[in-house]
Amino acid sequence: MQMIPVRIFFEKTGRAKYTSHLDTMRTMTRALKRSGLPVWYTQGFNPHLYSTFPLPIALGYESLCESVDIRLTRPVEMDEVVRRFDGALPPGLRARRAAPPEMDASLIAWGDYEVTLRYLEADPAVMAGKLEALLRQPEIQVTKRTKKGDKLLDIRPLVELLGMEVRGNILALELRLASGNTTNINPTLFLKAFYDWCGLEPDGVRIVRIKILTKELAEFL
Amino acid sequence: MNVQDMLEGILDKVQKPARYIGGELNSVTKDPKAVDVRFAFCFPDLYEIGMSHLGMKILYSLKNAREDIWCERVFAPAEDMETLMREKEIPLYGLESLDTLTEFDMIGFTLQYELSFTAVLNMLDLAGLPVRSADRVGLSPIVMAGGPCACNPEPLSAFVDLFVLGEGEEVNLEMIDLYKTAKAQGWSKERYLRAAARIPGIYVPSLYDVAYNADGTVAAISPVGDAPATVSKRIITDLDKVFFPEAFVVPFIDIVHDRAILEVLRGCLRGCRFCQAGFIYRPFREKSHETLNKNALNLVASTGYEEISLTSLSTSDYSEIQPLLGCMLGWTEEEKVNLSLPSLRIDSFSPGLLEQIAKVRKSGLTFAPEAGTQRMRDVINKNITEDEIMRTCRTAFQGGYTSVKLYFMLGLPTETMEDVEGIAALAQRIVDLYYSMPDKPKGKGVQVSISAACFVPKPFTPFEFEQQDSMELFLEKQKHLKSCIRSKKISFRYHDGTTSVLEAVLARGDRRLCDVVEDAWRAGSKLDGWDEHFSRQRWDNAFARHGMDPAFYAARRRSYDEIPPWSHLDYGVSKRYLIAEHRKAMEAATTRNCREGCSACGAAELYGEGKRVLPCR
Repeated sequence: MQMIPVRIFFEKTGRAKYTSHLDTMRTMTRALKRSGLPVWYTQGFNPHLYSTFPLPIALGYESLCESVDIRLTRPVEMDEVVRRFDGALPPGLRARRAAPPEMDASLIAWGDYEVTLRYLEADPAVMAGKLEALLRQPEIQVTKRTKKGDKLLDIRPLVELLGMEVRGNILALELRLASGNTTNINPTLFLKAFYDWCGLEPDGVRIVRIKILTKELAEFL
Repeated sequence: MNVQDMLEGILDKVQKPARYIGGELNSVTKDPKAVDVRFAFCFPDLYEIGMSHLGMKILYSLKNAREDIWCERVFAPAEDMETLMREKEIPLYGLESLDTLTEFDMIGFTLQYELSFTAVLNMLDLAGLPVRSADRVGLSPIVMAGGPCACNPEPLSAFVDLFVLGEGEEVNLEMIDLYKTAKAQGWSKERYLRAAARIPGIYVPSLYDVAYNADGTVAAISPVGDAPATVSKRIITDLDKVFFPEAFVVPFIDIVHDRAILEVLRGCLRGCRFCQAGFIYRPFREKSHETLNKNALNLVASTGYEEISLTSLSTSDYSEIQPLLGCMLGWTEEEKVNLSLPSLRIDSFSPGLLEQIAKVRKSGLTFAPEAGTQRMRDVINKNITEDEIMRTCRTAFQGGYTSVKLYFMLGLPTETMEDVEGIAALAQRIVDLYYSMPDKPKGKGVQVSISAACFVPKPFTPFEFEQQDSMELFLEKQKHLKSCIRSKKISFRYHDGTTSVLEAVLARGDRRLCDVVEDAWRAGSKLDGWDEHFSRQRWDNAFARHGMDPAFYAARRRSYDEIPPWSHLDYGVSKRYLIAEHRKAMEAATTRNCREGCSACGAAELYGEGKRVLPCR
């Protein structure tokens, strides 16, 4: 039997952001089953559909750059893979592109995020100033929950502010955060440090991952 | 009002937010302006429980198959979500549109267990509606309810406008059609309810007056105006023609039964005397294996599920089980779909069937002997002998199984301590059997788990006349049983009897209990089926405040000529038959099953005049 690796890129937006990774995996498996694509199953005693996710987005965030790796048992046109998979997905999940994987998931180093903070009471321009001040600090100590207990971590070198804009009562940020299997911080970890720094939480937050990059800042393909 | 924006701020603060946002595959969205009737199908428990329920899937798809109806799903929120909803003043909403329930024409609840009654009130309240039917003026929303507990809905009669008795596929649509007329012509709620009461299978509690005797029993139940004196439940006569969904909503999160479900038959031909389902779902009707195979293919294609379960009260009584397994295993193996078969009876468990199941998956085996001695099993008409139990276990052990789960009940009518001891003795003999077998699975020990529930007498069963054991007696029996278990190979699980007593009260309660239900809910009862939410104190207080004694409903033997609170409702099986069965139970005499011969219980009358067929085809 042939085993053709395929990486399908998809978006996870809207209501789908409330689906955890585990639940997204199950949803994807069922969608692949419904799609009728010739997907490869593991060959063990209890065969299951093979799929792996290079860098799954966490619960509560949206993403335009998710990917899942599967294997096909016979060649199918990549456009056809996208069309059939997309047709089987529930709302909020959209297949965008499929291609043979070019990079190994271990090359992933950065994730770019669009963060929208809505303030009803505070002036976003003032908050923008506070953010710049925070980023001028030589280090930003946060407590990170790990399986081995809480540990202190300086996240300053793991965060880069790519852009910032004030629109009405909104402060819009573009953030680059370390994302990989060695150093990885999620946007809330940095935002929490920011909220603590200004002593104020925004009234609404939206976080969308827009890009996944390698150490050389090449797009993950 | 649409709550989508309001949800944004709270869903990242709750457990399993996907419960509250809809958008699952195969969920149905429509343009609210393009439909005539908006229906909110409410399951009075958490999403994971409600989404596992087949009846909801059927009625959801049935209604949405009509262009003029939009049916949405609503579940009870968990504590964390409810707290935030109340704090931020977000009313309960439908999962498809995220519109609040006040926008709906009809709100329907399914009553699967008595302990969900307070959740019904809580959900109405969360929706911003008065819980009492009399306080909701105007045609919309009509609050209705169906499901097995609608067979005695009196403890909810002050809150629900109308009840649907029996199978819902036809009567739900008749009820909605009448509502369409009412809405178009601007009827009052009262006029609608009076007209609805003339639809067979619809019970409008406000159209009946109940009088009581000095001793608290019911003296008379009288219809008001032209409401029928008796309301009969509805049945579907031909299951091969009944609507069945081509697709199920596929949840994102893991639910209790996350798989495709096929309903192979309705009713049960056994007549176990404690079993309400076995009586209220009569007559016995089967689907053909061709229909089921078609249903299965549709569901797997539309959902992507990798597991199909065959469900019914007793799937091994399905007369076409072999051809069905034959044609399904033909494609399920290739498509890597697992078949699971719950509800097998001990006496039908043949080596051939075992072989078929073994092809599917080897997990533990579960059986329900229900009682430990033959005398006790004869009282309840569980027509199983100890020989059959042993033979089945032998077959299972030979087939490689090493764990057996056995379900029993404590507190059955006429039970003695000897019967209780019999449970432990039976489990011990199964352990001994295993070790006596030269061909037992090599190198493995056996595990026999027994679990003992507390018996609850239910309406429309031969035991509806029976008193329930007191909490103290249940406890004594549980302790005694535990002390009789000597082997480490036997594990024993049981449950505190408190909730079983409340179930017995609500199951056979009258409408005076409405005040108690409302009080218990106002004091904080809302998910009583969950141990962590249940409080006996709240209920005790509520009974005391209204001068009611739970023992009057649970622990009192009722005479054959007492008028039960459900005497105006008819589920096919005649009271005469229930009395005859009760008498036989007291003599430990058994009754043959419907396939061996008709015992004239009365359910065949439900087919209607001139259409009478024998229940067992």
